[in-house]
Amino acid sequence: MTLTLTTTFYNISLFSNMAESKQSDEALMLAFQSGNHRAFEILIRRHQNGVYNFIYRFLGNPQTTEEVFQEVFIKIHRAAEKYLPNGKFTTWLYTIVRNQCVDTFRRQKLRETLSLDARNEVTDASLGDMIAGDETPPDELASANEIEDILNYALDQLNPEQKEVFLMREKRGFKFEEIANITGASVNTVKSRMRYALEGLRKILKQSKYRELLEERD
Amino acid sequence: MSKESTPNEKDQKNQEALLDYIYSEMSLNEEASFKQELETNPALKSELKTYLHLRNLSQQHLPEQKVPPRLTKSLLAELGLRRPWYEAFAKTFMRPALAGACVLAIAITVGYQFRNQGVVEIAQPNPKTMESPLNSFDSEPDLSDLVPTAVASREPEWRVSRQPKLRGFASRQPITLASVGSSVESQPRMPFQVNDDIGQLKQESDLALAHFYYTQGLRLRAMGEHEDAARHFGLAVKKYPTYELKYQVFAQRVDSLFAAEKYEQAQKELAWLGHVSPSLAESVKQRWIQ
Repeated sequence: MTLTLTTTFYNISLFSNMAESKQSDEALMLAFQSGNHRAFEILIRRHQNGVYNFIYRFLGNPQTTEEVFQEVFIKIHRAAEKYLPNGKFTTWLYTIVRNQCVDTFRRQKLRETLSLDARNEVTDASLGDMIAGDETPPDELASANEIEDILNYALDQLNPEQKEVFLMREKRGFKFEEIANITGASVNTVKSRMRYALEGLRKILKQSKYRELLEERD
Repeated sequence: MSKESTPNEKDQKNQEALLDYIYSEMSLNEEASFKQELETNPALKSELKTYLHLRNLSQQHLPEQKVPPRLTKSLLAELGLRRPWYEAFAKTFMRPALAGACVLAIAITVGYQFRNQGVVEIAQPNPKTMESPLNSFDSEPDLSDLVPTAVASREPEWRVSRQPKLRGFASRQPITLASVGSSVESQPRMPFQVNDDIGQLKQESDLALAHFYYTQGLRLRAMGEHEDAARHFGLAVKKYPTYELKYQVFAQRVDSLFAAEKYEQAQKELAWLGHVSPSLAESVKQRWIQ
């Protein structure tokens, strides 16, 4: 009796989970709109790694990544009522993710600028004045031992528009047209940003000790 | 009139096509014509190779990070999406090893319960009918006629090693699926519950065998096989001293010996019966001794 009940319970929970996990994002979002909270949890679990990685690579700071990650899903949770299944859910999701990242990035840059512009009371020079120009490879690049460090450094050197296009196309697998919808730019502009992003990465890798990895081997 | 593209415009188009080609966003026709262009444009081909290397590098060396579980947990809590207890319980069963262990534990528990319910209560000697213990004689009854049949009616041996070897039980370690059926241990160490059970089963089988000899004796007696009947009654008494009806069986044996005309042996055993159960001895006496 106990065994039968356990097995039945196990099967029911297993099949209900399987059925829910096979639903499309849009169906789950509509289910959440009609009061199924479990549907939203499935959406979170389905997309959390992608969203987390995008934010992490875009901002490059684990602590800020966690804050933005939470903010993004809270925003989506609050905005769920306004969601219309006209397009793909992921387009809507990454529009919010991207906007949140860009906002945070700008705030970070503003803080850094203010900090660099602050004058030293003794020398009367700003920190920005003391930083070397970018003709020679920076120390960070010269001392980087891992390709990942170099790639992260190279990504940091891209402007946010190029970086977001590169991450969406390369790491999240969006098509150029979808990226255009997310960013609100034209497809040609997106492609142009992608080209600049690739060119920027190539340029920095060529300055590193891994330059041979980009050269022809055949 | 078709407008011819300038070298710059052509270069721009090639660059766009290059991205479409790298990311497989081209139709088959576009792809075929771009491949032709690649054959005639070594600079474009070289650029393609560089970008492909760059893609490989970013795919291999920018690994995907996993969301820390505590972050998901705190997010779900923040959104009020914590799992109810029954879903957390069900989630436990999603892990095959845990599910297997739980099912095994439940099966063992239920199995023991059913077996204990089905067991016939072990017969204990009734203090009222037990006048004195059988072993309290100065000397034991002879029952020498049992010797030849004792070998033939050897009782079954209880081999503990035939029991399943549940290593986790004996060492009080957690039971895992891997521990079931393992034959690593040469000597099975049974838990005390199992030993108790085996003891109980032995008692039950003793009772059943004693009863078998008794009924067999009665059957033979009814068929007129008095000597064989006496031997069977004797086996029940001698081999199973805890048998509740041992005095009645002993009385039947004495009665059968008289019937088989083995008066000397019968008289001797009747005297012993008189020591342990005077009332039964009296009834036998009344039948055979006037």
